Amino acid sequence: MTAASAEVGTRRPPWTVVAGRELRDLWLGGRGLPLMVVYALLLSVTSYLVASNQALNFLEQREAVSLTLQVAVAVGGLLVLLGAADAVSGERERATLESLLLVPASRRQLVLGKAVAAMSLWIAAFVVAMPYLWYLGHGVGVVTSAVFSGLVVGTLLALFLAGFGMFTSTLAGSNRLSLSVCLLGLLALYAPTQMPSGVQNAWVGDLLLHVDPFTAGLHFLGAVIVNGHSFGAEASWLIGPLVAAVVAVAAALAAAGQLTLGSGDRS
Amino acid sequence: MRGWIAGLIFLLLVIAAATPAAATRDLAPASSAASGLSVTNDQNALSTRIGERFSFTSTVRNDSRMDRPGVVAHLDVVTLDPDVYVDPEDWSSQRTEFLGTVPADGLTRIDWKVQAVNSGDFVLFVSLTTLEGTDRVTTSSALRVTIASQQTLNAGGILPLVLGLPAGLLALMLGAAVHRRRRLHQVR
Repeated sequence: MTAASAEVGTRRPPWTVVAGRELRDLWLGGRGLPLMVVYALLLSVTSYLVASNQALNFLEQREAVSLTLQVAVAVGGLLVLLGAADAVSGERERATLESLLLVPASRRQLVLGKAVAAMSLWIAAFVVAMPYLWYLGHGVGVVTSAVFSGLVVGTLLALFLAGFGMFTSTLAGSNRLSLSVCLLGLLALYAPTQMPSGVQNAWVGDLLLHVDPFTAGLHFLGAVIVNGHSFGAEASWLIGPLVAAVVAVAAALAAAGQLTLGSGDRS
Repeated sequence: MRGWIAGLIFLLLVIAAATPAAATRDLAPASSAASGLSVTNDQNALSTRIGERFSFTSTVRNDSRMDRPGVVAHLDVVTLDPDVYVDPEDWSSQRTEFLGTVPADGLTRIDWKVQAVNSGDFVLFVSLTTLEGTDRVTTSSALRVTIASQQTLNAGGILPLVLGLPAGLLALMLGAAVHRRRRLHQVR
């Protein structure tokens, strides 16, 4: 990352220089491609199991598209979270944060550049998922709605998770702590999907499902793809993910202003 | 002779009195005769393709001189193929209609919206009952639906994708690793 200091100072905004370096590190020398291979294998297994089940009726096939898309969005979000949770605390643990902080760019620009690199994992994951969605969905006419709704929901969730991961990573003293907190947070966000339907139908459960960005986003996908509802009819389910994305990104940028070499050192 | 006839009449009366009322009710046809309610569909057969949506209209009539409150109509789907499992919930999300009161000599229409989710031969019918006052269920005649199948998934066709995409990414990853190693070698 130290080479970035040479590039910063050109006319390009510093965050684009940082993002460029991070993207090169992630995709040419880092774990971007290995993560995509594993991700593609997961989607391959899911898609093959679905496609080889001849007993699926028409609606179940739409549900299969919805399932594949939900797996793609959820695992894509997990990849973004892993990338973001490691971004600052990883540099701190590998003792490379000091040289990064010497780069003539504001701390928010540094964090923004790293967040862009983490978001690239979602973009790549979505591109990898598209052929699977096309294959499973073209027979039942849901490819367009699956791709568009998946892009909207997945991007909102990825922004939220990138913000959450960057915020945690900036404040955490170690990479292990950052990853633990992020994964625990992610598990907690998935928990409402396991609530009994009776609880989900109560007003408290319904509120929780709307507020939780994951349950709201995944519900939106199911309603659009399986039930064939219009985007407008289900738009209220996007409020939770949108608010969560804005709050998490704002929190990450606020925490970035406080970024120091040591996690507890605020002097 | 008169004694025989009197005995026979007495015997018939005893048998009639001993027969349970419920049995009489069960044998009676569940038609509009007793309750005055009847239901008919505007179609009795149709053909479509899997995945298509279709609709039909049921007309609920009350031919009696009394209003019928609390009338409930329910749509059901029956498969004629023992190998096909039908979940009627998949076919229509709104299968029960609470019609309220059907006035004397009046009628109410219901539009059913259905999606064909299985292929094969099916029978759709509508049943009527009321919230209170009778244990009768009146049913419509059958709407016979033939649904043509359509090959939408092919397990063999997906093999190039499920094998090729991860293999392509793996090749890309190995290529990047080789490129990186060569550059490191050149730098040294």
